[in-house]
Amino acid sequence: MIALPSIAFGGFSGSAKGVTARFQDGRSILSLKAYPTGYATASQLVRRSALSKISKAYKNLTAEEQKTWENLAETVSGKSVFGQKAKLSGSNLFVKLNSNRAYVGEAQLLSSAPANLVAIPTVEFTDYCISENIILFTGVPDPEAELLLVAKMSNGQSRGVSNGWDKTVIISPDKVPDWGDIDLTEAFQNVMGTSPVNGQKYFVEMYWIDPATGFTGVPVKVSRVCQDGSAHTGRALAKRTTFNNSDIVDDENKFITDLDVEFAPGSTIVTADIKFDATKHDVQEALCNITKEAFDRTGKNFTSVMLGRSNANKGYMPHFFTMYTYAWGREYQFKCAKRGGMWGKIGEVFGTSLTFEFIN
Amino acid sequence: MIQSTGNNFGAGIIQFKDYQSEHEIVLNGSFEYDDTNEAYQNAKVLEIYLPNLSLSRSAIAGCFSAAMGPYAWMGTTAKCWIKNRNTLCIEKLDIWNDRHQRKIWIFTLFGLRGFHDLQVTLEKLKSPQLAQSERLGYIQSKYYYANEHFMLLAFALSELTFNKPYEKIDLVTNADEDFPDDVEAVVPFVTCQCDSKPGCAIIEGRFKDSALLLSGVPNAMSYGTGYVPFFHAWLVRDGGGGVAPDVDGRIRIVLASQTQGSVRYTYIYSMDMDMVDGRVLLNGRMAFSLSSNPESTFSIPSIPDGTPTCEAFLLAKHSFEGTLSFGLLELSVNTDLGAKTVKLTNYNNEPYFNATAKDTAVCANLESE
Repeated sequence: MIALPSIAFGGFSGSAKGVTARFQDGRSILSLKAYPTGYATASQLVRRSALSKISKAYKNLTAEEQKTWENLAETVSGKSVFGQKAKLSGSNLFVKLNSNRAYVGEAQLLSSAPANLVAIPTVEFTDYCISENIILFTGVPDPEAELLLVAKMSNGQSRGVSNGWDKTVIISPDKVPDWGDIDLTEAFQNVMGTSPVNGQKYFVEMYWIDPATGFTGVPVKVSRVCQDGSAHTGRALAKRTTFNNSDIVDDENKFITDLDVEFAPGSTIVTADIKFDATKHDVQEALCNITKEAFDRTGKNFTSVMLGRSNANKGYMPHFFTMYTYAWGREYQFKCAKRGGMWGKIGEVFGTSLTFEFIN
Repeated sequence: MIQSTGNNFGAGIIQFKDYQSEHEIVLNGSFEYDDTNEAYQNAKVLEIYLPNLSLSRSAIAGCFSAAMGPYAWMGTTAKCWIKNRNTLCIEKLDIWNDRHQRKIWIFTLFGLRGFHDLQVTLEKLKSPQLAQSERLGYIQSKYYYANEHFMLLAFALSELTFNKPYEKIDLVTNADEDFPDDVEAVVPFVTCQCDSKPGCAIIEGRFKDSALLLSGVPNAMSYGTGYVPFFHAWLVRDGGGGVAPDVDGRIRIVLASQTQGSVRYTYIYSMDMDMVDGRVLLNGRMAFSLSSNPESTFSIPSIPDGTPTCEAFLLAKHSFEGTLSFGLLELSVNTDLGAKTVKLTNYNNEPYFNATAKDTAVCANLESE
């Protein structure tokens, strides 16, 4: 939308082809019909399809429901509840909050306005890195309320671009901190189809959203030229030492359906939350092959001792397992071998253990 | 020891023996509650409120949760985690709707996630040498680890012999050089016996003096091939381990060992000596498995200068597969001419004497005689 001096377009109104002129607040405003351009993220597609329905839905509200939106709009106007001061109508607010909610997968429309304004904090972090291998913000505190983090990023820009936030698109509408980390690496690749490129500049905008009400916090904006190392210390900001589903090789030995293992300090502690289905496996173990890159993460084979159980259909039988990695020819295996309990073939391995020298 | 300040499921005050540090917490404790109370029924997750834990949160850990059945506690494993510095959470398992007396055992290690640039270091997991006073089954998959603060013990049993009503079974460790003797706890043991309800039988045992005493193994429940009873617990040590003596002025010698050939071994886990007016009060905890040679001599450079040459007799216990006998053990400390040795002489004529000694004696001071 382009605002032009009234002297040029005063008195003009109406539409011609893709251009609409109207007179408002002493100025003529020339609007170009907007066409979606650039990257259509999944959340954008959801929003585009939802927006039309949401806009039409306001007319179908009862007078009482519309009144709640008008009352809230009066309260909201002049307050910075969307990151900027704004004058809003009841229908504007209805569309804005409900479309925000649609972004994060809340399909049900709010017919009545939220009873109260919700104070949404700003996203905080202690460090970040935008490199070819990792886009990571660390030290992000868990919000006290059940908020989701919306992350927007631009594609690579020239180093000289100082303001590229208008080029950002939502790459992830619903992140929550994972032990302080907001890892946008995969989200960026999924949306942009590529990884960041060294030497190019990237613009990032992040804010919290309350999925219950659609209110959002003030966005935090950063930009950085893609390069290795943390923005604050310059030192390498490595990924955490984990095994997860993306490390599983999809072959005939895949009997682990959900892999979530992580190592931490303290005589190296290992924590696990694993689901398995070994109904087609003749050995009493949960097993999968993992990539060599994943296998090498710990630097060595290890063993740990975990608890677990069979699932509800198998009677919740308690188990204990030894969990270990093992190189077998050209295969790199991740195994949970059942050592105690009545084998149920489908179940979970979970718990916390120290990491021990490998024993089979 | 820490004590709960409350909970959201209607239990009373809950106590845990604890070890807490920057990176890990070990909690030991158990408690009962009634699932018919309103607080429990309203809870989505069981929460125990505790004072100021060292971790602000933890990753998923494991514990045991059970409901009282006709013959025993029937239970399974449950997830638990530290939600914040004041709240321990336990997964609520609504799987025994007609069994209202509930129990949870937490013998659990809690740790963190979220660290970058981690170098994985490995501890050593050992295999304990376990003996049974009554043969309950074949011990397999046996593991232990101990540091000065806590230990892990896990093992499984197969080929169970549930053909008689066991009143008690003593599972002892008798030849592991650093197996802690300062752990005391009432712990869960999964027998794997089933009824028609979820989970399987869990009985309790007392872990004390490096031995696990199981009692009340139910014999009226079904049992079959592949059930594999097991024990798994992270246990807090009481602090008696390590090289520091319990009493100032006491001499503590720990972890002397001697291997004779490939299978004979004798260990002195710890030996405390108090010297008062030229007399030596000696407390020893040692294990030995001598075949033909009744004597073992250890060179122990850490024996302090000034320790007199002296000797004492200790009683030893031999417990193996239903037999229990006593042995007499002579212990001689030799510091003559700069020597620093301890000689153990076994006066039991068992060809394979596999025993533990934990006794106190007043030494005869050979120098003053």
